[in-house]
Amino acid sequence: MLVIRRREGEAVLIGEGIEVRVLETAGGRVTLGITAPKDVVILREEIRLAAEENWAAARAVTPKRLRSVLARWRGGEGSPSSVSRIFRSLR
Amino acid sequence: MPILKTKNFGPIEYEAEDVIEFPRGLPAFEEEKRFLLIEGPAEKPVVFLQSLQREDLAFICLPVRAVVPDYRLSASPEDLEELGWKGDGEVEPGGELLCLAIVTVREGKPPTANLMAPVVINPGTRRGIQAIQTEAEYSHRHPLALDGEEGRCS
Repeated sequence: MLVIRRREGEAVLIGEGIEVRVLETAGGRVTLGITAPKDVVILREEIRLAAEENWAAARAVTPKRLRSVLARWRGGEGSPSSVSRIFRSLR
Repeated sequence: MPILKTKNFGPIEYEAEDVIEFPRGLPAFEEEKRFLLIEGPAEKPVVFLQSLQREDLAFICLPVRAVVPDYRLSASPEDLEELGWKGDGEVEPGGELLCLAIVTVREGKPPTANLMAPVVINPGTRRGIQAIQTEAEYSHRHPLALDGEEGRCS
Protein backbone atom coordinates (compact mmCIF):
# COMPACT_ATOMS: atom_id res chain seq x y z
CA MET A 1 0.00 0.00 0.00
CA LEU A 2 1.23 3.44 -0.93
CA VAL A 3 1.14 5.77 2.07
CA ILE A 4 1.20 9.53 1.50
CA ARG A 5 0.95 12.27 4.12
CA ARG A 6 -1.10 15.32 3.20
CA ARG A 7 -2.09 18.49 5.02
CA GLU A 8 -5.41 20.28 4.78
CA GLY A 9 -5.77 21.79 1.33
CA GLU A 10 -3.29 19.39 -0.26
CA ALA A 11 -4.27 16.74 -2.79
CA VAL A 12 -3.14 13.56 -4.54
CA LEU A 13 -3.71 12.80 -8.20
CA ILE A 14 -4.67 9.30 -9.35
CA GLY A 15 -4.35 8.36 -13.02
CA GLU A 16 -6.02 10.61 -15.55
CA GLY A 17 -8.46 13.08 -14.07
CA ILE A 18 -8.90 11.87 -10.49
CA GLU A 19 -8.03 14.26 -7.69
CA VAL A 20 -8.49 13.61 -3.99
CA ARG A 21 -8.10 16.72 -1.85
CA VAL A 22 -8.03 16.93 1.94
CA LEU A 23 -10.52 19.68 2.73
CA GLU A 24 -10.60 19.47 6.50
CA THR A 25 -9.34 17.40 9.40
CA ALA A 26 -11.09 17.66 12.74
CA GLY A 27 -11.81 15.35 15.65
CA GLY A 28 -10.20 12.29 14.09
CA ARG A 29 -12.16 12.72 10.86
CA VAL A 30 -11.08 13.80 7.43
CA THR A 31 -13.24 15.55 4.87
CA LEU A 32 -12.18 14.67 1.34
CA GLY A 33 -13.09 16.39 -1.89
CA ILE A 34 -12.96 14.05 -4.87
CA THR A 35 -12.93 15.12 -8.49
CA ALA A 36 -13.27 12.31 -11.01
CA PRO A 37 -14.72 11.56 -14.46
CA LYS A 38 -18.44 10.78 -14.46
CA ASP A 39 -17.92 7.07 -15.22
CA VAL A 40 -15.80 6.50 -12.09
CA VAL A 41 -17.87 4.97 -9.29
CA ILE A 42 -17.10 6.39 -5.86
CA LEU A 43 -18.55 4.62 -2.84
CA ARG A 44 -18.07 4.64 0.88
CA GLU A 45 -16.52 1.35 1.97
CA GLU A 46 -19.61 0.66 4.09
CA ILE A 47 -21.59 -0.06 0.93
CA ARG A 48 -19.24 -2.91 0.10
CA LEU A 49 -19.39 -4.21 3.66
CA ALA A 50 -23.18 -4.10 3.51
CA ALA A 51 -23.21 -5.99 0.21
CA GLU A 52 -20.86 -8.68 1.55
CA GLU A 53 -22.87 -9.00 4.73
CA ASN A 54 -26.13 -9.26 2.78
CA TRP A 55 -24.63 -12.11 0.76
CA ALA A 56 -23.58 -13.90 3.92
CA ALA A 57 -26.96 -13.30 5.56
CA ALA A 58 -28.90 -14.60 2.54
CA ARG A 59 -26.85 -17.79 2.56
CA ALA A 60 -27.58 -18.19 6.24
CA VAL A 61 -31.29 -18.75 5.78
CA THR A 62 -31.61 -22.51 5.86
CA PRO A 63 -34.12 -24.30 8.07
CA LYS A 64 -31.32 -25.66 10.27
CA ARG A 65 -29.76 -22.24 10.83
CA LEU A 66 -33.13 -20.62 11.33
CA ARG A 67 -33.75 -23.05 14.15
CA SER A 68 -30.35 -22.28 15.66
CA VAL A 69 -31.05 -18.53 15.68
CA LEU A 70 -34.53 -18.93 17.06
CA ALA A 71 -33.36 -21.31 19.74
CA ARG A 72 -30.52 -19.03 20.81
CA TRP A 73 -32.07 -15.62 20.56
CA ARG A 74 -33.72 -14.48 23.74
CA GLY A 75 -34.66 -10.96 22.80
CA GLY A 76 -37.30 -8.79 24.38
CA GLU A 77 -40.59 -7.60 22.99
CA GLY A 78 -38.96 -5.63 20.23
CA SER A 79 -41.66 -5.99 17.64
CA PRO A 80 -43.53 -2.68 17.66
CA SER A 81 -47.27 -3.24 17.61
CA SER A 82 -47.92 -0.06 15.63
CA VAL A 83 -46.45 -1.67 12.54
CA SER A 84 -47.56 -5.26 13.07
CA ARG A 85 -50.27 -4.77 10.47
CA ILE A 86 -47.65 -4.78 7.76
CA PHE A 87 -46.54 -8.31 8.57
CA ARG A 88 -47.89 -11.38 6.97
CA SER A 89 -48.26 -13.98 9.65
CA LEU A 90 -47.16 -17.55 9.38
CA ARG A 91 -49.70 -20.09 10.40
CA MET B 1 -55.48 -13.35 -3.00
CA PRO B 2 -52.05 -14.05 -4.52
CA ILE B 3 -49.94 -16.77 -3.01
CA LEU B 4 -46.16 -16.61 -2.89
CA LYS B 5 -44.23 -19.85 -2.86
CA THR B 6 -41.25 -19.63 -0.55
CA LYS B 7 -38.44 -22.07 0.04
CA ASN B 8 -38.25 -21.60 3.79
CA PHE B 9 -41.80 -20.82 4.84
CA GLY B 10 -43.93 -22.68 2.34
CA PRO B 11 -46.77 -20.92 0.48
CA ILE B 12 -47.71 -17.51 1.88
CA GLU B 13 -50.94 -15.75 1.09
CA TYR B 14 -50.58 -12.00 0.80
CA GLU B 15 -52.37 -8.91 -0.45
CA ALA B 16 -51.05 -6.29 -2.82
CA GLU B 17 -50.81 -3.76 0.01
CA ASP B 18 -48.50 -6.06 1.99
CA VAL B 19 -45.76 -5.61 -0.58
CA ILE B 20 -42.87 -3.38 0.43
CA GLU B 21 -41.00 -1.68 -2.39
CA PHE B 22 -37.26 -1.21 -2.19
CA PRO B 23 -36.66 1.20 -5.08
CA ARG B 24 -32.89 0.63 -4.95
CA GLY B 25 -33.00 -3.02 -3.93
CA LEU B 26 -30.47 -4.03 -1.29
CA PRO B 27 -26.66 -3.88 -1.71
CA ALA B 28 -25.66 -7.11 -3.55
CA PHE B 29 -29.35 -7.67 -4.38
CA GLU B 30 -30.10 -4.55 -6.39
CA GLU B 31 -32.58 -6.36 -8.63
CA GLU B 32 -34.77 -7.45 -5.71
CA LYS B 33 -37.17 -4.57 -5.28
CA ARG B 34 -40.25 -6.19 -3.75
CA PHE B 35 -40.39 -7.94 -0.39
CA LEU B 36 -42.84 -9.24 2.18
CA LEU B 37 -42.29 -9.00 5.92
CA ILE B 38 -43.21 -12.24 7.62
CA GLU B 39 -43.54 -12.91 11.30
CA GLY B 40 -44.35 -16.14 13.05
CA PRO B 41 -46.00 -15.98 16.46
CA ALA B 42 -43.44 -18.41 17.88
CA GLU B 43 -40.47 -16.49 16.52
CA LYS B 44 -41.05 -13.03 17.99
CA PRO B 45 -39.26 -10.65 17.80
CA VAL B 46 -37.58 -12.25 14.79
CA VAL B 47 -39.11 -11.29 11.44
CA PHE B 48 -38.25 -12.42 7.95
CA LEU B 49 -37.79 -10.30 4.86
CA GLN B 50 -38.85 -12.50 1.95
CA SER B 51 -38.21 -11.57 -1.67
CA LEU B 52 -41.26 -11.66 -3.94
CA GLN B 53 -39.07 -12.32 -6.95
CA ARG B 54 -36.85 -15.11 -5.64
CA GLU B 55 -38.54 -17.78 -3.58
CA ASP B 56 -35.20 -18.87 -2.07
CA LEU B 57 -34.19 -15.38 -0.90
CA ALA B 58 -35.07 -14.36 2.63
CA PHE B 59 -33.34 -12.51 5.43
CA ILE B 60 -33.63 -13.06 9.16
CA CYS B 61 -34.20 -9.71 10.89
CA LEU B 62 -34.52 -8.29 14.38
CA PRO B 63 -35.81 -4.85 15.36
CA VAL B 64 -32.65 -2.81 16.04
CA ARG B 65 -33.88 -1.88 19.51
CA ALA B 66 -34.27 -5.54 20.41
CA VAL B 67 -30.51 -5.77 19.77
CA VAL B 68 -29.39 -2.38 21.13
CA PRO B 69 -32.12 -0.69 23.21
CA ASP B 70 -30.75 2.83 22.67
CA TYR B 71 -30.06 2.46 18.95
CA ARG B 72 -30.07 5.80 17.11
CA LEU B 73 -30.94 5.83 13.45
CA SER B 74 -29.67 8.57 11.19
CA ALA B 75 -31.04 8.85 7.69
CA SER B 76 -29.83 11.16 4.92
CA PRO B 77 -32.22 13.50 3.09
CA GLU B 78 -31.93 11.16 0.09
CA ASP B 79 -32.89 8.18 2.27
CA LEU B 80 -35.92 10.01 3.64
CA GLU B 81 -37.02 11.08 0.19
CA GLU B 82 -36.73 7.48 -0.99
CA LEU B 83 -38.96 6.44 1.90
CA GLY B 84 -41.47 9.19 1.21
CA TRP B 85 -40.86 10.45 4.75
CA LYS B 86 -41.73 14.03 5.63
CA GLY B 87 -39.98 14.31 9.00
CA ASP B 88 -36.31 14.99 9.72
CA GLY B 89 -33.34 12.64 9.83
CA GLU B 90 -33.40 11.98 13.56
CA VAL B 91 -36.03 9.30 13.67
CA GLU B 92 -36.99 6.94 16.42
CA PRO B 93 -36.55 3.30 15.40
CA GLY B 94 -39.66 1.44 16.41
CA GLY B 95 -41.64 4.64 16.18
CA GLU B 96 -43.26 5.43 12.89
CA LEU B 97 -40.44 4.00 10.84
CA LEU B 98 -39.65 0.32 11.19
CA CYS B 99 -35.95 -0.33 11.62
CA LEU B 100 -34.61 -3.88 11.30
CA ALA B 101 -31.14 -5.38 11.56
CA ILE B 102 -30.36 -8.27 9.22
CA VAL B 103 -28.98 -11.28 11.09
CA THR B 104 -26.16 -13.43 9.73
CA VAL B 105 -25.52 -16.95 10.96
CA ARG B 106 -22.15 -18.47 10.20
CA GLU B 107 -21.37 -22.10 10.78
CA GLY B 108 -19.89 -22.62 14.24
CA LYS B 109 -20.06 -18.93 15.20
CA PRO B 110 -22.52 -16.85 17.18
CA PRO B 111 -25.08 -15.00 15.03
CA THR B 112 -24.43 -11.34 14.32
CA ALA B 113 -26.71 -8.43 13.49
CA ASN B 114 -25.90 -5.78 10.90
CA LEU B 115 -26.41 -2.54 12.81
CA MET B 116 -24.34 -0.55 10.31
CA ALA B 117 -26.87 -1.08 7.53
CA PRO B 118 -30.37 -1.38 8.98
CA VAL B 119 -33.38 -2.00 6.78
CA VAL B 120 -35.69 0.98 7.26
CA ILE B 121 -39.33 0.74 6.22
CA ASN B 122 -41.96 3.47 6.11
CA PRO B 123 -45.26 1.63 6.75
CA GLY B 124 -47.18 4.65 5.45
CA THR B 125 -45.72 4.49 1.96
CA ARG B 126 -44.64 0.81 2.08
CA ARG B 127 -41.22 1.77 0.89
CA GLY B 128 -37.98 0.47 2.24
CA ILE B 129 -34.26 1.12 1.99
CA GLN B 130 -31.10 -0.20 3.56
CA ALA B 131 -29.78 2.92 5.26
CA ILE B 132 -26.01 2.77 5.67
CA GLN B 133 -25.02 4.44 8.95
CA THR B 134 -21.89 6.43 8.19
CA GLU B 135 -21.90 8.71 11.22
CA ALA B 136 -22.45 6.36 14.14
CA GLU B 137 -20.02 3.56 14.82
CA TYR B 138 -22.37 0.62 14.59
CA SER B 139 -20.87 -2.70 13.55
CA HIS B 140 -22.01 -4.69 10.54
CA ARG B 141 -21.29 -7.78 12.65
CA HIS B 142 -22.68 -6.96 16.08
CA PRO B 143 -22.63 -10.21 18.11
CA LEU B 144 -26.04 -11.21 19.41
CA ALA B 145 -26.21 -11.90 23.11
CA LEU B 146 -26.84 -15.58 23.55
CA ASP B 147 -28.94 -17.26 26.15
CA GLY B 148 -27.19 -17.14 29.49
CA GLU B 149 -24.82 -14.36 28.55
CA GLU B 150 -24.84 -10.83 29.86
CA GLY B 151 -26.46 -8.13 27.86
CA ARG B 152 -29.52 -10.06 26.90
CA CYS B 153 -32.91 -8.49 27.11
CA SER B 154 -35.56 -10.31 29.03
